[in-house]
Amino acid sequence: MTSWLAACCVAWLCAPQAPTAPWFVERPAPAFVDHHGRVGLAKRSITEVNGGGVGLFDLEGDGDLDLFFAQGDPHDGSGPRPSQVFRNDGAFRFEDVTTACGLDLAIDACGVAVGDVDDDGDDDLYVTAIGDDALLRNDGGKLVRVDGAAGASDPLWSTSACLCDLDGDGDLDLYVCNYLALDETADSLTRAGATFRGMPVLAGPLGFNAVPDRLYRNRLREDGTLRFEPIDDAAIGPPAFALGLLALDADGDRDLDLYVANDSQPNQLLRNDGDLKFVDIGLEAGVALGAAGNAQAGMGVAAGDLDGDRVDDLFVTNFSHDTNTLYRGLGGAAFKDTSRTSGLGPPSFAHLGFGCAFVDADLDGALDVVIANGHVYPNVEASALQTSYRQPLTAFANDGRGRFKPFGAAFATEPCVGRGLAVGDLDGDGAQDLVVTRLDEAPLVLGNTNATTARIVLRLIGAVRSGRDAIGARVTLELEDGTRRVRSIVGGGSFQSASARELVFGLCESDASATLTVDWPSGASRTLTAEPWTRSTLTEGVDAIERVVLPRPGSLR
Amino acid sequence: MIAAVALVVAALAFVQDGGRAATARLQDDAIEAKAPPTPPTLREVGQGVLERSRSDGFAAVREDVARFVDDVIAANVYESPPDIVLGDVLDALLEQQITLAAALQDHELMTSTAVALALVGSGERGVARLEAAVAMHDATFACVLAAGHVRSARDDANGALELYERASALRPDSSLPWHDRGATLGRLGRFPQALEAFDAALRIDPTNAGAQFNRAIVLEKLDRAGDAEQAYRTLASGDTPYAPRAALNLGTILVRRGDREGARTAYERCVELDPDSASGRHNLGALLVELGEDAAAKPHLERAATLRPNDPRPLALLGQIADDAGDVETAERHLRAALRCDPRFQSARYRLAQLLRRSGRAEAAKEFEDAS
Repeated sequence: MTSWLAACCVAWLCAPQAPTAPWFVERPAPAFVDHHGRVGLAKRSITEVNGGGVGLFDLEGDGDLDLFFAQGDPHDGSGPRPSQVFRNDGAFRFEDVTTACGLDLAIDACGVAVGDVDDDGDDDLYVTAIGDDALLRNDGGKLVRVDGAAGASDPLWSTSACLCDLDGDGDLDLYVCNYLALDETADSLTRAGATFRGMPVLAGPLGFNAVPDRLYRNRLREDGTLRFEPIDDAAIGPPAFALGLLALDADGDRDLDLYVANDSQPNQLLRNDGDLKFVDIGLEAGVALGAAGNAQAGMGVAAGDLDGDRVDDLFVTNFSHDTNTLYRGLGGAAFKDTSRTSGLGPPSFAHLGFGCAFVDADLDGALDVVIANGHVYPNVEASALQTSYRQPLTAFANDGRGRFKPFGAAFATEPCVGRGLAVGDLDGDGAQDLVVTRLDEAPLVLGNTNATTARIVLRLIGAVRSGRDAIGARVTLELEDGTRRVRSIVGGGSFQSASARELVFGLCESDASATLTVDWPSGASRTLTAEPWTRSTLTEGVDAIERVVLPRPGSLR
Repeated sequence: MIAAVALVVAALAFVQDGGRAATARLQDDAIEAKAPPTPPTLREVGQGVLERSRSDGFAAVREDVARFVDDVIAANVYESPPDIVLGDVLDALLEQQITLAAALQDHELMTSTAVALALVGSGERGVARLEAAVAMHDATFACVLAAGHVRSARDDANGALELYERASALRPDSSLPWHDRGATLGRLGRFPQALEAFDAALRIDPTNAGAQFNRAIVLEKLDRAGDAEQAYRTLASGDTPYAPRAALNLGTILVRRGDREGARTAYERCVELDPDSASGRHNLGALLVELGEDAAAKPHLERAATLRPNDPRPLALLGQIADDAGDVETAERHLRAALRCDPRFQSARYRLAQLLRRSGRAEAAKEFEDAS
């Protein structure tokens, strides 16, 4: 308690106060049950244990975040079940609108990326799968599958994907993480002989062949016709067991670089050298390996400025009996592994982390860390290994200087086999809520309990050179006392999931207006004043700012 | 090897006689020469004994020979560094002793001296003598067992197993041949048979700590970590010479399982029992680093680095601690020291490369990245 209190005594943070109440409470879940693989102990191959992700997107342009769940194959001979879409009424009530929105997508879906690929102002979806992926164009609330015509359907086992402008032409290109080759026979997929610390386990990924990721250039025509052009694999390095993906400007040169978390192989930081040419600088940058120079089992990823130095840090979830890894950004694409000293590494030893995110859960101005955990070996509890198949969600409270304490009471939920995790304001109160997918179960919808701390929410819509989703934009908030906080809009993140892209600034005890400076990816800059308890939508190149007043404590909604 | 030689020396001491006159003469010489009070070196003692054996005959110095062999073993001069001159003295004395034993038809003395020669002196001659003794139909239990040790040490496992079986026939009430049989089978990777041998040893003598310890190792090899853990726990809580190593191995089982607090307790027990256990110090230090307790880890790693100066692991971890604390200079020193021990040591290479890059020395870093 003492160290926690001391850590919070930073000028620009809240008065010292250890969290006591849960940050998030469970809300009624949508009518969706994960069917990736046979249930529980019956799972027999690696294809059954990675689960599916969740995407937060605005289906109908009504301002509420709706939900897409990637559904899988239950391996019961009936084939993959359909993925589902749920419309959000803005008060944690979700209606199944899969049929209503025209979606009939029965593929062995894994993950989802969200982005306006046709630049028409709404959110489109790219769904990764074991087998052919799907590109779903949003036509006024109807999801139309267009991957065949658009040339964007990766046939490999795809996991995470990201829609972001990688060539600086303003439209969203596509990067797809691919995992392993499935040309093995069914027998080989379920082959025996693999062990983990002496325990017989499901085989893979080691022992299987990795497959290359895929990069597609968006050749959107002026008439709105979508066309994706695959880029030579050589542009993005050798095959690896890729699971997690982020797009961020790691070297500060105003283009988007890519960070790929690989399972059991070195992670990659693909520096964008222009014209869709990339160079892997992961090793030199210090983000490829663990502290001992070993490849880890990267799953989920997150990025953001955790320590207030205005440089984005990188976080990767890893396997159990290893630790999650925090790479502190030093600027100029240089990082230092601070997993141990930050306090994020050691407590993660027993957990197998998947989805993760940086969230200002307590709205104190500092980004906290939330993680969905769950083992991949259903039989792990039969061994003497000190871990479990179902694991708790974990959260770490940031003292504002990038030092963390586990906050065990952050979630009032039972342990689960957590996989995907996405962040967004589901009830319109300006605080970030969570959706977590769980293997074999319904997802968790977790509402942020903080209704009293002032906040400012900002949504950016970029002009041509920034891309509509403004991925790569940086926003600096400055309070009256001179305190500054920096947030970036990153692409991708977490594990097979897509979070909302709006930025939330917790104001802690302050209730005064703040100055926001937006540095667009295009190089343009804009400064505006924002009042607490407001959500502002800023469009690049447009003077007018849309403002919505958020519900305050005691106000009627 | 030292333990085996100690047994031999004990046997030598059993048959020794005389030597008091020589000791008195040494004292007289010291008085006449008014020598400084500094005690003679081992080499001087050995050379003195050898000269007297040549002038007075070996029988007159047998007791001094036994004491000298004992001192040599205690001083551990054959371990590091080898002392050639001293070895020659020792060999010469043991050769004389074995010659005397043959002349006296003292079979016990001959075989035990042969074992000593095989283990600490000129091996080939000693082994030849020992084999000759074993070939005699009335070879003693100790002789057969010792010959088994020598054959096992020389990778003649089948020969050793035959001799252990013969030793068991000579002394069915002894657990030692069964233990040695188990150890040899274990080295051959024949773990089920090794386990049977250790079980047999423990049926004869349930207190045979060596058999308990080696049985636990075999249990681990047979993927019976739970049984091994229990065996190590029992041993680690006792006070036999095997307790520190049992605690060490227990810690390693618990680390593998993910029970880091249990492992910490085990490693702490190891270094409590044997403060000079380099492995115990390193493993405890490494675990504390994982737990983020750098201040607690540091003294253990420093001690491990001192005890085993050629081990890169504690040095690399000390480098990591310093690097994480922002002490670049100390970190670089430790990491480079680790790489002097093993130029390909991965974690030191990686961390040093990272450190050099952060220090603006990208070109220097490449040397360590390329080979990583």
